[in-house]
Amino acid sequence: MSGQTFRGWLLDLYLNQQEGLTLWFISETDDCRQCFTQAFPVAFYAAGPRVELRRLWHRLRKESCVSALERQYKQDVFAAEPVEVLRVDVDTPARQVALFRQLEEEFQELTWYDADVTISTRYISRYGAFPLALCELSADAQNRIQSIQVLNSRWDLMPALPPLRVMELTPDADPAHGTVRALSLRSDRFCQTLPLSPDGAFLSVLNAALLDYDPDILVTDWGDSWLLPFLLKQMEEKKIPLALNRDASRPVRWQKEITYFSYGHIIYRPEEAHLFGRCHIDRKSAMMWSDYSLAGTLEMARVTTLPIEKAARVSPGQGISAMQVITALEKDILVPYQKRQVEEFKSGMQLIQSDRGGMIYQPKLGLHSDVGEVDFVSMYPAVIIRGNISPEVPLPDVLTPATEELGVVPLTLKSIYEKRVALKTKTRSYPPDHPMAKTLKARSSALKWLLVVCFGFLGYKNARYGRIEAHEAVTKGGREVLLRAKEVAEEEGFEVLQMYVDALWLKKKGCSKPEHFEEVMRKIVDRTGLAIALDGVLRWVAFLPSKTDARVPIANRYFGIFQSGEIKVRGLEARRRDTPRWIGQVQMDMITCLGQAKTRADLPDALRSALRVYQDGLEALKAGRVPLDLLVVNGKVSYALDAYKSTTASVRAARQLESAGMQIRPGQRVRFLFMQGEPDVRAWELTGKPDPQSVNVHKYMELLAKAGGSVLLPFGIDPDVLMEWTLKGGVQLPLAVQIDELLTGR
Amino acid sequence: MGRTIASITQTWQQEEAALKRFQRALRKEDQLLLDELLVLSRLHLAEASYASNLYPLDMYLIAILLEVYKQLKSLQKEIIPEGADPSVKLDSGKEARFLTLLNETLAVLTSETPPAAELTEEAAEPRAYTAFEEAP
Repeated sequence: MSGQTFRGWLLDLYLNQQEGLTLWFISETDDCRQCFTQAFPVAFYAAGPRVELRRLWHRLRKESCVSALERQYKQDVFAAEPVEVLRVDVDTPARQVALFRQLEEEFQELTWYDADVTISTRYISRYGAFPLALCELSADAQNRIQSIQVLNSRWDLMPALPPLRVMELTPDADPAHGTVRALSLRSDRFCQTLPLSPDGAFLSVLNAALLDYDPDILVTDWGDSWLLPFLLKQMEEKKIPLALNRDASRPVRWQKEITYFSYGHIIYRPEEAHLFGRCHIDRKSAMMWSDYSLAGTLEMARVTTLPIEKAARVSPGQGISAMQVITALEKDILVPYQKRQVEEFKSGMQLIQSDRGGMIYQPKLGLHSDVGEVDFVSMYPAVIIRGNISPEVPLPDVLTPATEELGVVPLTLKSIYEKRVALKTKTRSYPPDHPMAKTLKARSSALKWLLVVCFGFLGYKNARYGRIEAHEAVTKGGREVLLRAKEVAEEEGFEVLQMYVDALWLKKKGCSKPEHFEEVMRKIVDRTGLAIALDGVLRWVAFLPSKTDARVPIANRYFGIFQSGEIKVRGLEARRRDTPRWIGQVQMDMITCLGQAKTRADLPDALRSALRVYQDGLEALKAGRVPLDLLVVNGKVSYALDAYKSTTASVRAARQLESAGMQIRPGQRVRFLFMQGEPDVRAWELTGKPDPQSVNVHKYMELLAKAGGSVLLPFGIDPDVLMEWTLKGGVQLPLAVQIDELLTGR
Repeated sequence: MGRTIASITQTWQQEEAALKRFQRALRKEDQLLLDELLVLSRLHLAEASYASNLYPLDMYLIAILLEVYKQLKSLQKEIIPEGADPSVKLDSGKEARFLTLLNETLAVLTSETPPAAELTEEAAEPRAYTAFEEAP
């Protein structure tokens, strides 16, 4: 395959010191994997005082890698008029990176543009090729690409995708806790268990699988933190080769571990193992794997143009950021290296009026039946698009845009928004359990996250296209939209039980079917100009009070059941990551029992069966029949351990791990059990097995009573009484509940 | 992403904290009532946030008034027989009180019958100079 035309899907793309780029393709015709190189000169820009620009020109004239220097006028996104810049053309991207590092140090007064744009972003903006794009290319005898044409679009709804070879490699135990004795190797062609024998035979088998099957995607569990480091170490010790990379000339690339702060949480991301020529996805490091799996990850990579390995691991924020850069490059707008905009001056009163989030009401407490839950479809992105809210565009008058030509941010969002709506529509054309429906749902979910973070990035001070005033304009638009929706609903005779940023819970006597809500929704769309959808009609929903003060409603603590039978739970113990899995399961089982009641008359029986579930759980706990791994609390440490003055259970468990020689980073999860006596916790990752007899059953009974209390409270059972009954027994539960009254939403 | 000004819940907590000394000085039974009033103000945090008032306490006070008025109306509904117009009842009550007052005043006037000239002089006298014992 040389000196000819080739058609295939782009799998991987990375820097190559000599030629420029290395690209791996999956052939469309014969299932082979082909490697090409391509010359890829790149340009970046400098702006600033003319004296400095002249000095830069003198400096660069002597650089062998610089192929051209030119004075130009280009558009800076934050400037009204084009700015004078010096364009620097460099022969390869690798040399551009090295050169820019030096220049940044030497010329600190200059403003740089297009200087740190990633190679995949540069490539798509020049050729339109994105991960898994179907391309047609011509190459010379040395497999050097001469021309490339992309045959499909990243916005295609049902794109032709390559027959990917996916190989799973997973240890048989959590390496941080248990001892790994074997690896499981799976693909569409084979399934094998590889015992970790001392002679290293497993390495030979694994290597043969890598060479014969030649996977495109290697999916692992704990691949970044344990499996790949272990394999590489074994490979070295046993002197057995292992072709982890498809590009044999490269070693595995390691990306450093990182701890960062995001949306009020400290997040820890372990070291990452990246491969060349194929992709490594560690399910335990892939942020959104549980939400959108491989189908969503590939959609994320295609749409954002991030490499597949990166798209699997990074937050959607990086994806949206890359997309905004592409939009800017396509519009021939300069991409700032570092943002230099500061917040505009605001008076105290202006600040009070603008520095606000979405509308979050206090719900009407208690149990309500036949409630319609309606929400705006991607409200904030829709407000951004409708109001044309972008950092470089004048802000809208609430929802009326100041100009018609879309700015960088709405232009980026529009395609994602429209594709997501189309995907959702397409999903509905399949039965819910159809494999295609699941794939489409995963892809739609990936796009949802991009839309969600785009709003946040508008207010992020380091975002290239962030501007706090634009961020505030979005929340202002959101508040206006929600209030208009409330006004329409009330005019139509609905009671608004709750409003939460982009959702409303509506109730009206006689309205119990989806069609009863169509008219009010149509009027809301007319009044706001934004799309709204009915999530469903809740057979019943219970809005819960604060755990500390039963008189105070909490906005996002409720549970209910849709007429379809789907359960909706928010803010309850079952939704919390730190709740032991077993406690969460008992709570969900209780709600499921209650959900069986289709009419008021069914409720007493449903309540009795929920209590039976609770009682069975309690007895299993007391008898020690609950497996210990289901009682593990999934805690978290947010700071370095020596920064804590008083300790929480998570910190005490983390200190045990530290004493055992393990490193605990801020943001890292720490799993533990509650134990009797001292110490009162036991870190789950400690070696050896905890004694089931020493588990603090009383503590777990308390947790169970709290979870049960949340569910039973709206049905008239006092959580304090339930707690007392659970811990001591013998207290008569006040089961004579005025169910009729409760159901009518007294 | 971060916020410069305190959220509405934070301002509520600040106002609650500012009342702590006042609350401590209250009698026990009043402390409980104040606590209940503060809970009422929490029911309208979203509306108070939307109002963006420089003094959020004003909004909390209005929220308390609103909730207390709601309770009043609810009680009124329970007390007043169904079908009766509460406004008529209130007005007739006002009228009755006025008539009673008028009758009482007339009764006093007719029993004392002070000279008209004296009355005029007293009315002309500035209130500040009226001796305490002579005050009406």
